[in-house]
Amino acid sequence: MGKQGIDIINSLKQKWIGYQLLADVILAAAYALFAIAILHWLLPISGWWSVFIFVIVGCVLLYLHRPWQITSLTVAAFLNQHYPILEESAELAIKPPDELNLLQRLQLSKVDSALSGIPALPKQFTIHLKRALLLVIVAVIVFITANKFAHHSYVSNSLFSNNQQQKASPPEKVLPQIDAVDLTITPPAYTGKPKRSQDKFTLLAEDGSTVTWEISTNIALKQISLVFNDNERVPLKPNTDHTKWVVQKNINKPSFYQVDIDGKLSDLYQIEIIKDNAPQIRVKTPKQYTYIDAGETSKVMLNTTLTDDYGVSNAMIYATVAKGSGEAVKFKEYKIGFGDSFAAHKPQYELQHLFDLPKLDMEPGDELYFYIEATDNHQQKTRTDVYTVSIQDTAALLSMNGLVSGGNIKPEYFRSQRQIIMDTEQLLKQKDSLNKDNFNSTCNNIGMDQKLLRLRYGKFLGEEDESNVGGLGENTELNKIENFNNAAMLFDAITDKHDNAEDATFLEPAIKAQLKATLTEMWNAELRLRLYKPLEALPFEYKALRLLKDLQQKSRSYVAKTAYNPSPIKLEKRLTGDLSKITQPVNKDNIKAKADQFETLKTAIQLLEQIKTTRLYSNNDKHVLQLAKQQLSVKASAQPGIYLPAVNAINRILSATNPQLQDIDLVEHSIQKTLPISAQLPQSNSAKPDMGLAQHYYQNIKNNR
Amino acid sequence: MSWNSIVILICIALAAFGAYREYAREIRSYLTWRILAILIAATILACLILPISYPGNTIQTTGKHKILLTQGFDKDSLQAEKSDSIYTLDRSVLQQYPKAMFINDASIFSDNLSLDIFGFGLNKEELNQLVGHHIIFHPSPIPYGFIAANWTDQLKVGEVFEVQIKYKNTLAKACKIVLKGLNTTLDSAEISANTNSDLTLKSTPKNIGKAVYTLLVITNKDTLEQEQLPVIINPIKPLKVLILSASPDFETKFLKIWLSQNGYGVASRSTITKGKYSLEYINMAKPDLTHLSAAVLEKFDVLIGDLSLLKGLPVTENAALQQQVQKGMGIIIRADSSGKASSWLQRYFLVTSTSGKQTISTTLNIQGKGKTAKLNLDPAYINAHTNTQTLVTDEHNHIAAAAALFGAGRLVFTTISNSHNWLLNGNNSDYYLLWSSLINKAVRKEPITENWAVKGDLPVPNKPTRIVIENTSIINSIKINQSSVYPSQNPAVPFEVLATYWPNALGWQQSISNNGTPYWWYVWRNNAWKSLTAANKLNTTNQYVQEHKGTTIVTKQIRQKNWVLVPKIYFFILFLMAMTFLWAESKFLAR
Repeated sequence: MGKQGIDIINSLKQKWIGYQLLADVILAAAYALFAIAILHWLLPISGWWSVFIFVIVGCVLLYLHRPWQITSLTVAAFLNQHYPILEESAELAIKPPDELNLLQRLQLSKVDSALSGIPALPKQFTIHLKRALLLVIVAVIVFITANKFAHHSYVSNSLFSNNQQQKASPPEKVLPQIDAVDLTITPPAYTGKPKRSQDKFTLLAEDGSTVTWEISTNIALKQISLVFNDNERVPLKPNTDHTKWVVQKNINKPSFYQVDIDGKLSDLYQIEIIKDNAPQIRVKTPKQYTYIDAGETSKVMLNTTLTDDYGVSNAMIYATVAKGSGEAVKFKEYKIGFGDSFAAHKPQYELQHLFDLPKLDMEPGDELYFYIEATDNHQQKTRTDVYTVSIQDTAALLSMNGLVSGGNIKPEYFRSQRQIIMDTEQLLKQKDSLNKDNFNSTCNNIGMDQKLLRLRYGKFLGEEDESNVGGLGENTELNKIENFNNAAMLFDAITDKHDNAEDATFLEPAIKAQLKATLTEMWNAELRLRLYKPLEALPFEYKALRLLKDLQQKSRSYVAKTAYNPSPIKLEKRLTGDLSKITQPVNKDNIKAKADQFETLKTAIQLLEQIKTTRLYSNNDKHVLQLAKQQLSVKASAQPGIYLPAVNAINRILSATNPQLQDIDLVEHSIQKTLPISAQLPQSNSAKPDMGLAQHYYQNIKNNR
Repeated sequence: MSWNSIVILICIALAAFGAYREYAREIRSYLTWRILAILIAATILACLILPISYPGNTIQTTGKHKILLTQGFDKDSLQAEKSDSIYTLDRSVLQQYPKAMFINDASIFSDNLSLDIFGFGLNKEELNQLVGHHIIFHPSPIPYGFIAANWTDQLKVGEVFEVQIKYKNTLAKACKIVLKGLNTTLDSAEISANTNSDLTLKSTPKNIGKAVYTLLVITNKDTLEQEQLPVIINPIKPLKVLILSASPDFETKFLKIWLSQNGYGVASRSTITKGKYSLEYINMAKPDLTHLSAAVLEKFDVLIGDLSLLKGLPVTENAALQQQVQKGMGIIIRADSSGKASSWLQRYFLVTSTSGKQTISTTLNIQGKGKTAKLNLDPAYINAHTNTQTLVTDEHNHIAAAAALFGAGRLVFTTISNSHNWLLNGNNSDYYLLWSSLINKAVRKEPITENWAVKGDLPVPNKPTRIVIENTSIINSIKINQSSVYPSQNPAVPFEVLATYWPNALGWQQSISNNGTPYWWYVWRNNAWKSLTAANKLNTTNQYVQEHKGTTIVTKQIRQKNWVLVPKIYFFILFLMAMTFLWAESKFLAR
């Protein structure tokens, strides 16, 4: 029996905890619903916030109620409080039976039977839950209503935007004979847009669209035509009973038109054009100037985005590789396609290309220039700026070229031959004072100089370089172990490179021949010098020098003198300062001030201001307004969206006997927009018509002073 | 027994009773004081009840006392007045206050009248009819709206249209003032709540001829007021300009091109060598310019010349030039490196050159026209002088151009020598602005034969409008809207006549004298510029009352011997003091 009591209390405890938890969770949900309903109504926030609020409120409630702190003792105390039948002894059932004394045991048996009489679910346990449920129901109702309101405001918003759209295209006035109109706009192929039709005359079409007007009339008519820009008339073709009229026209510029039914003109309808933009190319990488340092991978990633309003049909990379420097620079061009195919003609492409520079035959010091050209469906082309990628040349960086030779060194070709002659003459003079060995060695040295000079000139003729004839000893590069198997280098070292095209092409044949003769003389001079016969060598040296001088002269060009015969000076008139016979320059000009092209509009404004008060105008005035209308029509054909309402208004003014104020205002506004700002010009003030009083006054003051 | 004696007797009885009671009290301190207080209290009680007066002088108006109601009067302020005779000159007042008597003419009042004017007051004409009456003005406060407004009603092409207004905003909201012309917003300004603001709205008109601009006052989306601003934009008459230069230079060249392209007559003479000139005539006849004479100079409105050249003119030419300037021709003198020789041309313009300095790049401030873009100026400026008017200053407030009067003509002196750089930079507007203002200042005034003006209040239908015409010849009749009007000659000024016209239609009215060009003026609707009219009337009436104050008091008021009542408040204060003493004594002092 004792166990029974404990079981009942334990099960009650579990139920209590369970219901308490449930009540807290539901309460938290209710609060979260309330909060989100209000917040959602006030601010545009997402529904996920409700979860956050739910968790927070739930935690707070649980912390306040602490259902996990309910123990069997609390349950017993609760039972004691609410069920007098237990005689304040419910906790006896929890105590272990062996701790009980006799009296308690007796009481326990009583309690046990009483406990079994207690309802399985006391009212007090569920009361929180019931309240929470009630609150949740209210919260749900509030949430739904709030949501509905929010929806209402959204709906009214969308209604508003609809109104705006309607405002943009005011209802058209159509001639009464027209029963229905069906405009079929066939956009050009490049847009990739399907055919569409509309029942309004106002047109918004892609550039190059074909528009078909199909006008059905309620009575048979003689003639319908469309009048474009007040001058171009396009007649419509009728069907057999003259109630259905059709015409087709290609639209490629903004303008306006009217429907002319048997001489009666309709309102003006505007034609607006959606122009096709050229494709746009955005290069994300590389930067405009990319510099690849030594050690960096010589690969450049090109990342680009192509966009067009209808579709991109092709894109290419145009790359140029520049090799060498100075005059020896060589260019090589490449045309590289992107891997993607443009068959889909998508409006946007994300494209990549990897430039592998060595594959493009690029070496250090070389530069790569490239640009991208994209073509859209309408064959409009765009190209980017030129991007540059260059690889650093380490050899150039290490050379001391610029640093060592500070100035611009002039070639010493001609001086050298002279030097040799002078040296030879000097040697001959000193012949007596020198011993034989000394003499011979000096003579040989001069011969060496002569040889070097000859070799230097020989280069111009593409003669072979004799410096390394007879061995590879000097070529240190080739002596290195790693180059032993380098066939290219070996060939380079031992082959004879005759008549290098690079060296020989600069000179004319005649000069070449003379240069060869010079070299022969040098050969001869060297021969004599090497044989220690400076005296014999001297004539050859002189000959060589003469030939060289000759060459030098030949490179000069000759310009003949032009003939000028100064007039003879009259000495008797010189320095007298007599200017009597000099005529003065007199210019006379008549520059007509440019006719004001806005004159008619300005007069029209004056007239409109007058009509505003009188509301009447004469036939003469009508002519002025018609002229103004012509000017506005020209404007309207270029910008129908802005000026067409004014042309319509001026038409209404011209046709009505009693013009409307709002029409006049509209026309005035447009004319004001058209007129240029008048520039400041000097002008005179007017003197008062005072019968000479001021003049008289001034004279009197002057006289009395 | 009379009321007076009853009061006195009761008071004596009261005093006696009180004195006895004090005397009979046991505590004897302050007895004398207490009894004194009782006696005073009783006496003063009697004084409070009885009217006490003394003989004195009062000012009394003689004659009859009448009330004149004008627009804007307050009904409540009338209640205090005895409405024996209330008059009005305005029919709209009659509708508000039907008891008033409507009169057409204020002159029906007999002389020596004391007249109370309520409301905004009267205009000058009406006030002039009241001369000889004593006027007491009870002004009403001006309601919100325009208190003052002025605008350039006659313009020339290229000039700026300016409206200057004073607006009283009594509302708790800010309002926006918008200038509209040809249905386009040209300029706008905001006036914050509860302020009086002065502001200027500007725009350069693009149209020519007559136009009516509007001034709108808008709060939120409500238009509070809408007023018309009639304006006439006149075309420009090309001038004749003579340019003399010591050597051919670009400044002259560009000036020549600009002026001639706009149809102006330009003659230019630049010295090539001594006695030899390069002459150029554009849009005009070919007068001989090698020698300047009065006859030649008379043909030109303005002369633009280099200082060194003008100084070096032969004596006869110099005299001719001086004579022409005195007669009204203007000279624009371009300063150059000329010697210090004194000349009538440079009497007021002394140039200080800051030597050693390079040219300075500075913005220019053209007086009344605003700032320009930067320009390189030579380091020289004109010294300020009392007889000159500054026209152009640089950013350091150094004078770069100034003007002085010389007879009927003007001398304009400028140190600016390379303004054509603006043109080269594509900045045409600053160049045009500078030279327009310089030439405008110097140019010979165009003689006209006729000058019209509408005087007094805003012309409205069915009210007299006064038109003043100045003419070189005597006018016998003018035509306004095809009907003849016969003006009266101003007895003091021989060339001025005055016409009065009662317009019956709104809008533009055409007036023509015997042979002149038509003059257009505007008639507003009856309630246009309401607050402005009210403010004007208030000012006029106040001024009139101020001016006629002295005379009216002397002539209309008489001093009289009279019994003057002593104000009861003094007695009451004494009574209160006595009673306070007695109370305080019984409460605090009695021990």
